Amino acid sequence: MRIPSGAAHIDPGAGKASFHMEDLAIPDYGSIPNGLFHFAPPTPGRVSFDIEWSGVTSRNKVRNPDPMQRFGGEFASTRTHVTWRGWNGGTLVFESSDDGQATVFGQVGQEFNGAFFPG
Amino acid sequence: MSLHDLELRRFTPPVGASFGHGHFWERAVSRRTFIAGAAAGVGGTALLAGLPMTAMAKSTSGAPRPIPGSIDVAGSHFHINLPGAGDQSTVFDFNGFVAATDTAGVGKGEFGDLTFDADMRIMEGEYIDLAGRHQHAAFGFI
Repeated sequence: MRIPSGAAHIDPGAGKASFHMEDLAIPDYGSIPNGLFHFAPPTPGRVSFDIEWSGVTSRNKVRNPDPMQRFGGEFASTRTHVTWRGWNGGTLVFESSDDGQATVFGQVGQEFNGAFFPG
Repeated sequence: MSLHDLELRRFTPPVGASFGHGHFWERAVSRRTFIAGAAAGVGGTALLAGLPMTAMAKSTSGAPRPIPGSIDVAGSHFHINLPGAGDQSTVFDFNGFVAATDTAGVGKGEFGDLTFDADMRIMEGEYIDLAGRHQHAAFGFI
């Protein structure tokens, strides 16, 4: 989805980024299978979140000419931290804890793909 | 089975495959984005926004072209790659900045403690829209 430019800040050189949105309306499909295949209509949901990328652990350059990828760029692997709350209707149904988080994957980069992929 | 195994296999579940293995499905294709579930699986609360990007693209002025993607589930193709497996942008014909995360954690649900897995991505830069026009915008995969 298109977002206001002020909601996100990405600084590949510093290996930092942030993404913040408040009270964002989303369709809540309730379960993963329903989110994928829309067996039942969603209910109105809302989320607020702050995401931070920082702490570069490695850097690498990528050039992938695979027709199903066709992308390249320079990327920093980082740690991440997510704070979020979610509502279904008017009910708060989840609030994340700042403790006990694990970055499964974090990346900040500058990239090009498709028509911008050279060659 | 690793994420990369899934990526390479372009996973399609067997007929009658169960949705009961939360971790597997979260890794495979949950990807729309905040998933909060009971620790035992995906049967708990989920906040899951889920229109395929192609559907959005057809109805929006200046709409971007979705990446080819590499996820197939039960005959449906999803225009996204798994976290860490290929292009993390969901916008194709794109030149700009991208940040992506897959973060796991815990929190409080309406009825008790829950775990979550959040796959969030942002992209900001120039792109060529479906009408062939150069555009500049910021997108979030939420």
